[in-house]
Amino acid sequence: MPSRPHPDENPAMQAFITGKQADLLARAIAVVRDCADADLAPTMHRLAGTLGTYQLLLAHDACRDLESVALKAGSTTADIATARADTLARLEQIAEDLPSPDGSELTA
Amino acid sequence: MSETVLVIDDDSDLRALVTLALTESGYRVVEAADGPTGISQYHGHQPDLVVLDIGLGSMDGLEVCRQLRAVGTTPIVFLTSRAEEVDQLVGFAAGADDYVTKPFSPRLLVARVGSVLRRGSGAEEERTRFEVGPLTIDAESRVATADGVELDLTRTEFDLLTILMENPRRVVTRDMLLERVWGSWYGDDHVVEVHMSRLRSKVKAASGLRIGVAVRGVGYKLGIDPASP
Repeated sequence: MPSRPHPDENPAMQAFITGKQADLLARAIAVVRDCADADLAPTMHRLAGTLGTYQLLLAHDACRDLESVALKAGSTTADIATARADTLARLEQIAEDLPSPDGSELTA
Repeated sequence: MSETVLVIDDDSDLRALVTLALTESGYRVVEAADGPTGISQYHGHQPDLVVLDIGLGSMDGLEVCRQLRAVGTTPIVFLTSRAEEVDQLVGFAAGADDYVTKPFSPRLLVARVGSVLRRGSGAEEERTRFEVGPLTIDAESRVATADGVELDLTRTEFDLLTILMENPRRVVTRDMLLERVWGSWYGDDHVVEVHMSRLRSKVKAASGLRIGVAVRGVGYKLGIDPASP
């Protein structure tokens, strides 16, 4: 079972993590939008690990859900497109809900 | 002097986070963004421990691990986003001493790094030589043999065998193994079974001996009569 990030890293670590979240999410959204279907599963798997480690747990879950659809036997191009759109919407919402970089509250 | 950790990860975001976490905890960190650079840095810096991403690009982490194991015994902690048991087994077969599954807390990674380093430094000072039947183990030289055949064990497998041989007539509980080998433990205790399975296979392949008998719900016993020749 994956370990879940602790929200109580030391202040320097927490500031570093929080300060990177918006940029990470912006890049994740671009990756989800542009990734070819054939590369989607491994790309989402990897992206989920990075986002989760930066305490963006909802973003992690969104990418893992898209990975699952991409891996599922019988998934059609339309299924993947629908899942991709859902993941994009979730990531965009998470980005919108992020606190300002100087805030300590974790919303994702 | 602080211990040096080599971090090999092609994800610059994760590498930066791991580097900061280790640096904040007093370690000196050397970074590499790919396998070949990591191997080169290993030879150049002689690190005390390697943190290695299993999912590197051109040369994957398992291959890097094998190449590092071919030239030294420096402890290796894998970063993996593959939680499936088979991947863990493959990782340990390649010679990893521990693993951390993504997503992970940097604090957890630092704790694992510290635990693996303590196992390495403490074991050599405290333990001596044990002989049980056809098995021998010398903790000072870190050499174990079965029927006279030297065993090619990872640090973790060696520590497990040492504990079993220290207690040849009793069952060693899973908790005791976790405490002695891993120290403070944050993850699933399935890791004991994985390492014990590898140890059992290596001893059997080298000598035909069957060791590490599981006692259901309790732990393991060495499984060799201490009085046997």
